[in-house]
Amino acid sequence: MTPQEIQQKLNDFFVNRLEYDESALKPEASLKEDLGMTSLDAVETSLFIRRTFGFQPERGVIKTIQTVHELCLYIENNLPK
Amino acid sequence: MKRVVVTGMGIWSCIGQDLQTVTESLRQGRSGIIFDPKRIEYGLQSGMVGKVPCPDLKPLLPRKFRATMSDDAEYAYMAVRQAFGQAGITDDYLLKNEVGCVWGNDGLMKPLKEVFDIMGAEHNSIMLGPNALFRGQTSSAAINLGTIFHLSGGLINVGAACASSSHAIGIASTFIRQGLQDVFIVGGSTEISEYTPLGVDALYALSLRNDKPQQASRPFDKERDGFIISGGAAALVLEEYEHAKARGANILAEVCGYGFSSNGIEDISAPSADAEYIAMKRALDDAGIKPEQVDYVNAHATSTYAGDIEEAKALTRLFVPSSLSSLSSLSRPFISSTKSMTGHENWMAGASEAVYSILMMQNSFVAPNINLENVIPEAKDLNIARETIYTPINIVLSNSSGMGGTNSALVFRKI
Repeated sequence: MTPQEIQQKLNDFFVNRLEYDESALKPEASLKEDLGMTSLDAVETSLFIRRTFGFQPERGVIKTIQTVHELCLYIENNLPK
Repeated sequence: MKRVVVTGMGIWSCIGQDLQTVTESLRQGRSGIIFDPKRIEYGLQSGMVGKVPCPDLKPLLPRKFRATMSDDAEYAYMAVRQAFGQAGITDDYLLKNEVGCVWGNDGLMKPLKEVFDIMGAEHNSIMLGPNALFRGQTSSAAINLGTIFHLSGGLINVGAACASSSHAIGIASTFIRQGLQDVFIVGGSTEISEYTPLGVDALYALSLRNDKPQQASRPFDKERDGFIISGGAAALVLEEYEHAKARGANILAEVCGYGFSSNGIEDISAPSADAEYIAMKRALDDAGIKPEQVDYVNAHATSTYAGDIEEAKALTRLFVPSSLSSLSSLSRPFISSTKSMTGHENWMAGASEAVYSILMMQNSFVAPNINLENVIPEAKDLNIARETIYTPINIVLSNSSGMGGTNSALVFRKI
């Protein structure tokens, strides 16, 4: 899966499932400040990653990630080989 | 002791989803019951249900609120926004003032089935996601209302079977009378699904008149054969009288009496005339009102065999002195069970029937007890309204009773 495909799937999840403002979806956007990610959204994002990308993020790790770009990198770096 | 008044109401029920429509339904004796084949396909014996639409909350609430809401919390939101709107309680008021919530609910089935289905398939609790907890709690409506409306006062769910929301009104009123808080949103909500509540069908307590759904709920009628599952949500803004006046709020009615009892007998499913009498008498005593002053009684009567008989006995003891013959029935309060139209709204019934009663009070009519053709002997001396009666209503007694032996009664007065 390419970085662009990861970005696209994540964007789709953010817009269609979590209903974040599409215009705010930029790589440097803060998950919490710009998109409004709540603690429950972080859990839901973790479940989305498991279902979509095939690995389970470690407990609490999503809440430590700051931006959309960092989250894409995290997914890219943890994709099952 | 402080006084308690109602300054706003809201309703999301099978006979209407706004106060005006519900008023007309009550006036016209319009049934909200349908036959839903999904209930039979699922294995229920009774296929009838109150038809309550699912609200479209997407234009009204951000996803972060919607995601944690059970179906009944959605109904509750629709009722509460109406009630706050009528009371003139704005978002700004809610942010700056302490408002509490006492809400009636005694169980959800649909969110729990969803949880068990996922666990059965996945065997991994992670797959439940973040919202299952909040959707499945009995207090789902109360906690979601607290979050959405920024409630900062007491937030309490009351689980007392089908008397839940009547007790909720009584308890919140008691808090206000004691000066503990000035404003509460109170009410109750009941989910509608084929899973709700399965156990009652197993008790043979539901009507099997599947071919005539709108004639199936027949409180006090000899041919009744059980109740109809129904639900939705009802809400009232309760407010301390001087606080309401100072705010310039429109006062709809006073909550002037609350009475309660439990059956205290070993048969968990049996109703008790003695205990219902005690709750109703206690409510009237609490209000300082004599039985002959009551204009209208909204009966609990659900259309079950035993329940209607016991309530009729309690009402007769309360309102028909033994020295009077049935010829003097004109001096007795009009009585009707609005469940003849709505079915049994379970947890929300106490609150919805408070709303229905106050609407009748405001519009000077008594809604009919539809489908009453041959009255049961135990109710022969009661003044049951078979048709709409146009008459001034100043004092209402609303009776509620719950499976398991919990009883609650409320008195409302026009001021």
